[in-house]
Amino acid sequence: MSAVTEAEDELRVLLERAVPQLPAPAQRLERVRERMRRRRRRRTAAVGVSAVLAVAAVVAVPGLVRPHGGAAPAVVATGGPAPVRTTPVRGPEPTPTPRDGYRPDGMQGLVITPPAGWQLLEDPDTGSVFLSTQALVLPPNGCAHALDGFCTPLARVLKDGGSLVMFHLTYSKVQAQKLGDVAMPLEDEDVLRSCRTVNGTRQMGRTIVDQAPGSGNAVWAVACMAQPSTAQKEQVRLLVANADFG
Amino acid sequence: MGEGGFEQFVAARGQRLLRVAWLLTGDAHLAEDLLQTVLAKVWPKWPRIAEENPEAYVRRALVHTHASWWRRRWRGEVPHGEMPDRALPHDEYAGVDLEQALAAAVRALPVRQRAVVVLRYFEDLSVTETAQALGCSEGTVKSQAAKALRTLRGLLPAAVAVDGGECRD
Repeated sequence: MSAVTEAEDELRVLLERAVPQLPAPAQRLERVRERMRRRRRRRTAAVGVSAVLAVAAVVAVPGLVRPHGGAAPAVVATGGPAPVRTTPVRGPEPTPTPRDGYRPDGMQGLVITPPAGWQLLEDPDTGSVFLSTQALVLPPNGCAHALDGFCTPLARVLKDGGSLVMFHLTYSKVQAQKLGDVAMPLEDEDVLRSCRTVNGTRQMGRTIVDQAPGSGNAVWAVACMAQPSTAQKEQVRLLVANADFG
Repeated sequence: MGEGGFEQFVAARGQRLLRVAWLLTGDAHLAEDLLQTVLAKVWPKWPRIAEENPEAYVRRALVHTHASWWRRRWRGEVPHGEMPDRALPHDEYAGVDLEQALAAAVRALPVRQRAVVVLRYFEDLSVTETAQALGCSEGTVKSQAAKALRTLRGLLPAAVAVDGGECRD
């Protein structure tokens, strides 16, 4: 038997003996039921908020809705001193997006491949890039204090089949040595409140790590989708899964 | 299998799943919280899940939910500067110390290595099954397992000795 196998067997025995036999709390199932009720209540509330936001976007802020889905310049202008680019990706006009990948400003070399027809918004203030099937506009107070850390700069809430993806740069010098272990695969996640409030029903996330030695750069990618079809999910999955530091 | 089936499943497998959760979190309260969070997610889908392999599904959900917590909090765990005192052989509290040493050692592992340790060595899944559960390659599982073993052997030499084994290089 090899030394590795012996070590593995030792670890198995150790774990079996050392992991405690914890007592089950009284009424565990009742507590689980209560958690389910709370989840349902939150979802119901989120649907209500989404409906109100949808109405508000259409009725209360008429300047926000434009015939071609573009962003309202007045709102962007109040977003902060940094210039914000809203770029229609591969639209009818020439765009800065090369076919083999696009490097957003200030993202330390992150390369993404936006799907055709998607909108792109860069926010250098927070080190974030947003892509969506719908029009994007930075909120008046910026994205620095977004709910759950997931800013949702949509001109209107997501329509069914709509998607919003955020790439957010994080730098951690302390963790630089261990960042290789932070990388996490793309997976379904619980839908955050910030996603639900823009009508999102599904969420995926991934952490992308710059493998360059000592870089310390990592990007949290999160995708919020509203009632996506299989093809729409696949499109978002490819966008997030293929993003990487180049 | 209906709601009754879910209750039977929790009654039969809850203890084992709680131990998996403890190994992921290194804390009894967090473990129960993690398990209840996952059960609350799983319950509404139970009729579909029960037709397949419910335990594997719940186990996978535990690992992914824990990773998701960890990622959102970005290492929000409380760091421990020192390892607990180690027990002498035949100490009547050796089991408690071993448990504390293991909890500290597990917390010292990066989240992915922790998941590999849980699935490979506690749940005894194969490399292929572990890779499928974590959504990564078999090579990654092997390398993460080797790193975790090295780390644990560095942190737990006395614990292994208590357990009757020997430290091998």
